[in-house]
Amino acid sequence: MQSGIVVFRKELLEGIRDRRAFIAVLISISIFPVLMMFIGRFSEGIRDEVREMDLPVQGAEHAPELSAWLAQRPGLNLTEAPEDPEAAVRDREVDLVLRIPENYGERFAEGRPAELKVIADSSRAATSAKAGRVTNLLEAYGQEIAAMRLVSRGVSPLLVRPLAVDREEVFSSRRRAAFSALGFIPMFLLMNAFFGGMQIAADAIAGERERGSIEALLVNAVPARLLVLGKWAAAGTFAVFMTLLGIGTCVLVLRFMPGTLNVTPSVTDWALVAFAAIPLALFCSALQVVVSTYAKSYKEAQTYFGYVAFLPMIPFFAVTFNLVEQGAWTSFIPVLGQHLMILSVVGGEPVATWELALAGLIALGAAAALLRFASALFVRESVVFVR
Amino acid sequence: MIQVSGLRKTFGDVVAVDDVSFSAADGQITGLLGPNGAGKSTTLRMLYGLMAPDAGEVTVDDLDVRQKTMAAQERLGALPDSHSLYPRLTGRENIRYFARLRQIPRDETEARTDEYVRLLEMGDFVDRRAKGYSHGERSRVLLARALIHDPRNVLLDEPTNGLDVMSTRRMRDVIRELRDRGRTVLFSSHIMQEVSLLCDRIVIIASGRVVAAGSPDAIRDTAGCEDLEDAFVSLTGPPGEAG
Repeated sequence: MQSGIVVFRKELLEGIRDRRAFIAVLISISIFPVLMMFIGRFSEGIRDEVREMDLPVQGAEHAPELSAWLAQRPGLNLTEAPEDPEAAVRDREVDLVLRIPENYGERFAEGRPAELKVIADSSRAATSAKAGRVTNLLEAYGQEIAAMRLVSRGVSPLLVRPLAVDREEVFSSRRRAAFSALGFIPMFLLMNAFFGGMQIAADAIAGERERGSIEALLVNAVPARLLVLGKWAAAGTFAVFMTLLGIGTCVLVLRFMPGTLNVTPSVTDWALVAFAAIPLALFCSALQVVVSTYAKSYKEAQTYFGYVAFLPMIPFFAVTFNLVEQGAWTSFIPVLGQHLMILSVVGGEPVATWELALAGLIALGAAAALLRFASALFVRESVVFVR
Repeated sequence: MIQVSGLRKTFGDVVAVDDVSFSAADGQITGLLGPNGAGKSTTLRMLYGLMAPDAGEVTVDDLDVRQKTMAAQERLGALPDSHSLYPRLTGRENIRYFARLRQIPRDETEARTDEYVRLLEMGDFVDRRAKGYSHGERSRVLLARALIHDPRNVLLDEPTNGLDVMSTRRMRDVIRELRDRGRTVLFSSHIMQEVSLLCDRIVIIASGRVVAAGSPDAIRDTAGCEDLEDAFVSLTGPPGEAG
């Protein structure tokens, strides 16, 4: 066992001294904040602009009452429209223009539908939200006018409203948030768990064999299983470290960018997340140890890792696009289970501790089986002497 | 003491080592001499237990390498032919790593390392990262690392390959000193002069077979040549070329 610890410490030291590992840390922890920044900017931008917006109106003098009514709406500032509204919208000088034609007053007085035109570019998300708001306001104004006309003819406005449709959403806002952008949290953490140990696993096994130092190592009367265990432990330590760093990043992002995801997991929640993610990090490292033992060179190992790197993303897409039915068994499939459990925990849904523990044990059991296999492979002649 | 009998190893259709038998005694330097591709490295790999022979057996201090690989390896110090260190560790850390793996006490490790730093003149570079080492610097650290546990049996695969004169001399001094302390030293080379200078016994291998074995004088007699190099050519060359 002692020799295994010696291998572990040496690989850890070499890993820390490896600049490539350091760069991986930087990239990995910056992915999530950058992602959240974009999402935050995007959604906040829309909301703020709709709350407070300019509405350029062309021909306001043709409909003074409508203009006055619009001007009273909170957060809506009527402005002078540009010369050529279509061109101005196309060139993004203004977001949208309301055009009131000359014949508005005439048609309005005759009781015929008075045309109004909202000129907007629907390909822009912010603009389409504004256009939606203006259209709704105009509809509401129309309803008011209609109601007044019916009343003046002695008809109840309720007659033309045979239905009163209201939607009740059973999907709580917390769960809704959990199932949209919140899915990035487990994906980000699983990617950390996966990429954390990759560098060491590739360098300490495939790299060592490629450089040829493996031969001298194997003459030291140390059983292969201890060598494999030591190397795995070093890769696993990096993976766990990166996972915890990832959790720390999430905590900071949610604290300094509140509202982006609309969730506030407690300290206990984050502890449960770590409890779910750590066994998975160790499992991922074991998987990489096997792949790296099988690969003939550092480059080849990296190439294989590139394929396996899709693994942490599969649950994200499967869950986001509703490809998996959440059942009793889903928690216990490594990677998928951890994704679902982390999603539930940060989304405010309780997950039983025994469920987390059992899923962790299953991941560790799978890791042990992988390491056994790697140990047998490690000293195989065709593997040691590939060159 | 190392004993090899009837060793055979094939890779597919290629017979790399064919019925090789010899022994290397304590307090002697035994040279395994042969041209490139003769099967020297394959033989050594079977000696330190990394390759399984198809037939035959190897014993180190009477321990069967196949049956008791770990016990046999504990009595071995080996310098394999791939001359590679851990690039992100210093020379001293490279040596220390192997000493720890073999569970040598710390003070003993440091004392022996200092001794080899002096003997192999490694003071200038031993505390620098191995990444920038020259070939000669690397080879000296590798030798010190292979000997750090003071093994009773030392296997060196082409230890002086590509070294300059000074490095070669220092290495020879270390090898002679090992013999004088009663160790078994077996080293392979394809350079005649190297072997004739150092060895007490020579085993000549060609195309996977032992073609001659004995003291340098006995080898000259066998081949019927005055010069050892002529003897080597006549014994290892294609049949009929030199008689």
